[in-house]
Amino acid sequence: MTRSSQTALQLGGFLLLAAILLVNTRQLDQVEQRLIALEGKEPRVIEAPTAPVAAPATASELLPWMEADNKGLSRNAGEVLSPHTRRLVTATHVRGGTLRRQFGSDTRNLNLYMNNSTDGTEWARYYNNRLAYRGLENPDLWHPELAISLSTPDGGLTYRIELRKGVKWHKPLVAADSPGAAWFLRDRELVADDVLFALDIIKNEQITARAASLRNYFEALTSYRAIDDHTIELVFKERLTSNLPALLGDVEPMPRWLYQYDEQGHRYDEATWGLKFNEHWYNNKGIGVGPYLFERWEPGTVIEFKANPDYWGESPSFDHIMVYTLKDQQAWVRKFKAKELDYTNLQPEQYRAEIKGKSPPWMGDANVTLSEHPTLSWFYIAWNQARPLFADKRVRRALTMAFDREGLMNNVYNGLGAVISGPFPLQSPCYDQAIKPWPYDLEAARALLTEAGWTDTDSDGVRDKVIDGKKVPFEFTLMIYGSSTEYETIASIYREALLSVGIRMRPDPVEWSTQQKRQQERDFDGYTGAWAADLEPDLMQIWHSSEADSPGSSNYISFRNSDADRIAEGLRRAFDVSERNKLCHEFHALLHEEQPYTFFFQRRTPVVSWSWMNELEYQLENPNRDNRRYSFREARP
Amino acid sequence: MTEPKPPEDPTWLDIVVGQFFRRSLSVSAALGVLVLWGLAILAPVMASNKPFVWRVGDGPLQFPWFKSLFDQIFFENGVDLFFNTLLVALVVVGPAVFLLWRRSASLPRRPRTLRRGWIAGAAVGIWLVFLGGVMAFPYQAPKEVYPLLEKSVRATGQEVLAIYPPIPHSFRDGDIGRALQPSSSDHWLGTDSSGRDVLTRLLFGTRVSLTVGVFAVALYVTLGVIIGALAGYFGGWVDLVIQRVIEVVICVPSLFLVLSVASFLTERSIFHILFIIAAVSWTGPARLVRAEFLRLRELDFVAAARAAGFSQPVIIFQEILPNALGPVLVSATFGVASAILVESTMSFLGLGDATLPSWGQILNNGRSSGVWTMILAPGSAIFVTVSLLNLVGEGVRDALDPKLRK
Repeated sequence: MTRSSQTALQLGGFLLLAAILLVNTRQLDQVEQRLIALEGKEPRVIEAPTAPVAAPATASELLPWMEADNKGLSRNAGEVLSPHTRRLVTATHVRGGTLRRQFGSDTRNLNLYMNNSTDGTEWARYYNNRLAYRGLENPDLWHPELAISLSTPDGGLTYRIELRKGVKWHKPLVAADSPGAAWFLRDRELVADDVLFALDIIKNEQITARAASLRNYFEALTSYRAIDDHTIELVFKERLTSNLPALLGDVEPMPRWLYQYDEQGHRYDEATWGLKFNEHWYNNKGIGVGPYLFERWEPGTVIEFKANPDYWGESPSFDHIMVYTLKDQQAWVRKFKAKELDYTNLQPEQYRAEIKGKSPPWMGDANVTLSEHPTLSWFYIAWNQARPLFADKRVRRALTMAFDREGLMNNVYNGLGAVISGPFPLQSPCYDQAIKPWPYDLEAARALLTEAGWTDTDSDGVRDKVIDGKKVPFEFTLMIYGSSTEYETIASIYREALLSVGIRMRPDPVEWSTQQKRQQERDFDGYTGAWAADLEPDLMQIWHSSEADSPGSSNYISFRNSDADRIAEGLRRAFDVSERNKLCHEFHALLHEEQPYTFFFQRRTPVVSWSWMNELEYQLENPNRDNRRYSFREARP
Repeated sequence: MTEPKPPEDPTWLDIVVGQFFRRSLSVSAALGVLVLWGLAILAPVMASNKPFVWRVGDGPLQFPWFKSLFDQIFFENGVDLFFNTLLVALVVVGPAVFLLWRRSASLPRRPRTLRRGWIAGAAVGIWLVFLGGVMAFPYQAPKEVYPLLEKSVRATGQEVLAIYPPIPHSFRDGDIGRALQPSSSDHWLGTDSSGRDVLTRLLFGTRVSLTVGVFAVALYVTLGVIIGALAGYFGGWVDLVIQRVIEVVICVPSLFLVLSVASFLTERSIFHILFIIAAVSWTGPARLVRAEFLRLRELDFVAAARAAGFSQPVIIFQEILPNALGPVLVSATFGVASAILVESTMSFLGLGDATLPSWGQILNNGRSSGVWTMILAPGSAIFVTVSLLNLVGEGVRDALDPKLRK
């Protein structure tokens, strides 16, 4: 054997190794994060360089720019925005210091339009602004944020937006000596084009993830253009109830000068920039005009923000915000008790161990405050109706009736919530209180399955049915969120109940990112999930049949029902409250009958905080917390 | 007048076994492992919520426990069927095997080895046919939860005769209303977050651990020995290619490789886990066997075998291999312990089979709910098992070492 052939073979071996490593990198990342989560490795906390200063504040007093905004609102006819009534932070507080909080899983990315889960919008509240913000006392009102005026002279078809002047973009995190630095590090001000770019993103069919799921809310938007650098005109082809909430809730300025450019500062091809946007080099960083600058994201460890000294609006309460990724829920409480977190929400297991059946002082410390926050999120089990197993509504109802929601609610979730029967939050007038959830009744479930043609012909204990000439046993896999032990408990209970009605189910715990991927690819039988509901319900995104085939949309279960389509479309055209409620109730009844999901429950979240935190204000909005409102009552000891 | 029987020369195996028995610590560890196997095989005898005998009033005698033993819906993991058939096979065929084995003791060596080989082969054959038959004909056992049924029947005033195993709980059926109970006379180790009896799950977890240990090792030792034998015997190109592949496999940290392979798979079952462990561990025995072959193939008996015209497979597997197995035997014994640890690690990280009552899974449940009994019990079970196996491994290693003969 020659020497060169040996070398060649060795080289081949290393290439093979390199290939294996390359393929594994993603998985290894996940595994590493898992290990980090368990070990609780944590980064250095950067303390504020300056001592916190007391900032006197009184609730009623408005800031000068707020007064100015309020005065300007009367200029235009058909003004939609309402005057400011209060500041974000009203309690007496000290400014500065580091807020340390936790998040239970890793975020997907920090590009607002590429991140489908609610945490993406939550981070954006730190580093970006919207056109307007929801009223804190009255969530039906919108107050000026980046838009100082939003007027519609013709009552809902044409909108004119005037943008605030002098709002500065954050500097992107690119090295000063990199080839693109000259382009990216210029001083830039917020202009109309930045808002138009957000609309371009939503309208661009090449872009997936959140942009794709928002697309149907903007179907009626036919044209949008900049009149000058700070004025925008939008034209809708139809007056729909979803137009305004979508415009104000989902549109945030995006820098075209960043997302349409590659790392070297060269502009992408006009025809394909959307594809580049999906995998954009800046997606793991965040950029905006908001009160906090994005500082860094270490996957599996921390997301860090720091105060923006050039912020146009109300000064941020903290110098730094550290959001630790703690996948191990035990670590939340452990770190909270060690005063390494300023506040944390409690998962059922922790609630049971620390709070349930006990009395204050909580966790043995008089400085711990406990509060319970209602949420708009509701939980469900989704059934993939594109698969023959779940095509029959009687089967789906049987699956619901075999699911002991009340028992799980009380025992696994410690009664922190309520079982629901339809797709709306209980607080919403859309929820028809007259519709009671299907009872937990195994006998009825058996009868329904038999009626639907599923019988145990070979008496092996599992029901079967002939579908397309083939005998199919009723066996399926339930995809569950693997990082939470509640789901494993739920699955193990549900499994035994299903077995007793003759259905074999296998739980499949997966990572959050895997779950999202498989949902989008429709690669599941059933999965456990939750939706963060909006205050104004819009049914198109999840339930309309047109969404069933659109890739990246949220009708993961391929639900197709002409009545549902009619109601969803009707709701977009119904401005009258009683008419809306009627449609909602009709929809509620329809979904109760069809059971495309097994509706589970809506949860209340217990939150513990240390005494140096001001009371955690709660607002019914999606996402549920606007954390910019949190502040320190006193300097942390 | 008969000639006195000449004393037999001790074989290599006799020497090794004799040496092993002189090491009391290892012998007691081996006994401990036997006890573990006993626990695994007898798990349903000790814990089940199906009564052995059941009679309501003057009704017919029923035997729900026996019926449930081969219910593939309830015992859905192959592991349990394996052990349950083993249990029945032991009871039915065991005594006969024992008697025949004893009777063969008086035979001279060659026919005795042959006879015993036949006996063992037949016993395993009978069991495998039995296992195959059970798996080929699924049926379902009564699904009643007997303790509850008993209560409701008694409430109607009827007499009930029910004889339960000592621990009248099932490792699957939980009562969500009785989740996370502390230790009590009913649940000695309390219940887990789904309301299932922890002691029962621990018992059935023994099955999982032992299966993983033994089968993963059997799998990778077989694989490694064949590959290593080929590499060592042929050398040259074959050796070079195999060595490079081995290098590629061993330079990835094995836990990471195991975890990353596991996260590729959806719906992991215990058999996936066996294969994953085998896939990363075969390099050890392969390298040992290769080294032995490199030494042995130069010896005279191999040259003699070649000269006698034996075929290559015969030379490799019948002539050289038996002489090369010593080091592999030692590494295999230690391998069982490490395979058990790997499985526990995977289950603990939630990458195991989600439906198995494995020790790692119980440990994880205990950690997340902060219940001490659920951390200590499976933790000690893992500790004891791994320690026992390592002690046995040390005994085997010393017994094989001619320099350490006592």
